[in-house]
Amino acid sequence: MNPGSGACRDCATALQPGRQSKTLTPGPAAAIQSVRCYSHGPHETDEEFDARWVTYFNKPDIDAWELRKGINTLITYDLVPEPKIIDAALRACRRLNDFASTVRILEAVKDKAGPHKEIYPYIIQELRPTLNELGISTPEELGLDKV
Amino acid sequence: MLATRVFSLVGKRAISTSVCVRAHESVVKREDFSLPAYVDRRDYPLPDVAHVKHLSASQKALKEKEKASWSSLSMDEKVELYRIKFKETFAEMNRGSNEWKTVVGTAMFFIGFTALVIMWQKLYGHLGLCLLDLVIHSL
Repeated sequence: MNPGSGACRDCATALQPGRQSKTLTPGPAAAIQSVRCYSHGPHETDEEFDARWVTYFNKPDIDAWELRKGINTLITYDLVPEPKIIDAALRACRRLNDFASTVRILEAVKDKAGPHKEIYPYIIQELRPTLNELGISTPEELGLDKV
Repeated sequence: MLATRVFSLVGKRAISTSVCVRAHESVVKREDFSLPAYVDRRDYPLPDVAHVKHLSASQKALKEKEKASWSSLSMDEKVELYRIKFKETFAEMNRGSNEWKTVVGTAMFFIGFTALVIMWQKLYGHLGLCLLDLVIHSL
């Protein structure tokens, strides 16, 4: 897995080749320029997708509904969001003074990774500066990952 | 609506809805069924409403503290903020159960019962519904 090139998403979708007709990653060493293909509509690259969502969460006066709608929609997609999207979402939570949602978002991201246990630690590693800056604790640190 | 008012004249008792109120008085009011509800779902991580609607005084104070830097929150306060907004964690909502044992056991029970029926049929099936003859003859 090559985390820097949108491969988070590729890992998650590689198991379901029929779903979103992404190009399958040939191997961990290759950097992939993947294209989102729809049967209808224009093509959007991974970078455009990420940029669109980062812009969505970066809206300075985002409201609580828009945050919830954004996260709930993002979670319906067959992918694990890039750290930069989650970063923007966490900052949106900060602007909304909503601590609990930050923990919930991290839980949801871990859940999205499913059986790919290496994705979540990578994302936390990428988000560590933001987590420290905003004072966000992970679900593991709060003991909320145990039943 | 009209029907409930008529009945309330009879016995001070509105139909069905007040039964719900009496049964779950402190939990769910009848109006709440038409409002957005809280759900714990993997595919809907941020529900439409918070889990706890009415905050105590200490919880309100905590919500005020949430507006300041989160680094100043203790671990317990962070967990409290989470529990105010959400009922179950992902780990809790995804936990397994022992229901499968009940299902498999019940299935085997009925398969076993079916085996008994088959055994009976092999022994006595050739007789047909002979007990009915007595009924028919008496008619």
